Amino acid sequence: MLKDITLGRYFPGDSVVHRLDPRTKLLITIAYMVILFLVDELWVFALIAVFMYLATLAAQIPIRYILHSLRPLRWILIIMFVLNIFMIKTGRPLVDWWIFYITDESILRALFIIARLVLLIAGTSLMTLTTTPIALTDAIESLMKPLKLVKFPVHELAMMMTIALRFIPTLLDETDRIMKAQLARGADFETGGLIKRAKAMIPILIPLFVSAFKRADELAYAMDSRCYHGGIGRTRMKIMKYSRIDIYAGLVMVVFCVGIILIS
Amino acid sequence: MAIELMDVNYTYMEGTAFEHEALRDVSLTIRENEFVGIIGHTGSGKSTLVTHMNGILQPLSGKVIVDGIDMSDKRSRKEGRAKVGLVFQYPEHQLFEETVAKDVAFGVRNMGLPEEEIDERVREAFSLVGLDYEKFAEKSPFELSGGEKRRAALAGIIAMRPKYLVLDEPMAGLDPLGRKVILDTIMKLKQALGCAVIMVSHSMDDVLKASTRIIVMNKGRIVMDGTPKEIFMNAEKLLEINLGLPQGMILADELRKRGIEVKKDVFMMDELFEFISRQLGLAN
Repeated sequence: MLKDITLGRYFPGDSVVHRLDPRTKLLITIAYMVILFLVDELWVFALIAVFMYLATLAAQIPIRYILHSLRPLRWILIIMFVLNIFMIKTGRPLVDWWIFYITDESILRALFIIARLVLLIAGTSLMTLTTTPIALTDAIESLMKPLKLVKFPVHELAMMMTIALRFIPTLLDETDRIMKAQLARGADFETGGLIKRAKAMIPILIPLFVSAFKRADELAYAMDSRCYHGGIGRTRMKIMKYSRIDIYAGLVMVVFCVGIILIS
Repeated sequence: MAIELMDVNYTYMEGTAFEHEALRDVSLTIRENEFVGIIGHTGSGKSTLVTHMNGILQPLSGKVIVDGIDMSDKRSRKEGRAKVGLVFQYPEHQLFEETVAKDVAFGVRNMGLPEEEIDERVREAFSLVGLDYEKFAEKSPFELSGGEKRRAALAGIIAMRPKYLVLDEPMAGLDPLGRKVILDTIMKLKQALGCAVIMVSHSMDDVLKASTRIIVMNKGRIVMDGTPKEIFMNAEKLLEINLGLPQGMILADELRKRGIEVKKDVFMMDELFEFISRQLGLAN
């Protein structure tokens, strides 16, 4: 029932991209996002799209997975496109009929926005598809370490993110189970008006909250009994290490970024 | 009248990297008044199988028919679903109402019955599962003990008076006494309601004690289907798929190894106990 949710879903594999250090992937993704916002010409977007395609190939991830991650946003994309076409009034008019006033610039701008968004989602999806959520939070913690100097609770934040991410699939499973159990008791989630449907959620939400609080309690006990006391002096089971492929990947990205900036 | 499954196939997360085949070509007929025990390893497809019986899961191919109603048809499914009462694993996790009585009434109320009948059925369900109505009706379900919660959840399904009562691991996570109480309750329910019972379990002894028919699942297929005697006379096949044997059989085997003649069809501890008593001349 809830199996279509792809939030942060990891696609297991052993490609070059999978083996990259999560910190490298995070930094590359950030650089990629910055580049996307600097670019202002359509053919450069095409170049970035080719780069994205090659990266996806290197990650050995089927293209349809990347496309699938765009699907939930298709309406937003369409609305953005339409709004941009009609809202921008500068440039040479192409259509001027009734309330429609479309210029060459408005079409170009709308295309930019769409290209930017699609490439942005595709890029970040590629990262989450090839990196486990846990590895990603580890990377965030490691990269944010300098903030500790200003007393920012980096470790606590990372731990909270790890726990939240860890429990998303668990709670989804739980929701699915509770929904089935209530369906078996004749609950009806699919018909009726807004208020009736909202009320139909109660038999799902209450057991879900009860179990979520219980889980939180149990987790706290489990952490306590293993003497967890925050990040001070804590060592890791998996130590992140930059390797040769990280250097190569970093170099490729630097060359790519410099190239894009120079030509545009 | 029966639950019929015809060539049912089901795969979880089809078309993704996490694809998992749960049922393969399962065909099965369950008649009224049977007590069917379903055993198999974790991941053998038992739970998936029983979730198909009331149409909550729809097969990817094949058909599920309950008393002549095709469960793939959206409109008639509801009628079929009312005939099949499905109690999931750890049913106490579904409790949500303010009072136990309201929670037990949830299913019956969804059937759209008049209030007096709801009340009557709820009281009956309380007494069938052995909960004192006066004592528990107005309590919050979250105040009950684990075993009481489970009985309250069971009552919620019983109140709907299903023709087929399907239970997925009804004794999971209970202590030996709790297990016995629930199993005895289920057997009593079958007598009182005259319904068919389909019970998934890990425990050979529980299935053996209650069932008139046993189905053994392995890797999404039905590998054995017969009376308890037929199944356990074929012990090698059970051991082949790494399932255990009932306690009574294991003990009987040990006795045979030590040169004591024990009949071949002794499976249950009670039977064995009787046999030993007789051997020792302690009958009665």
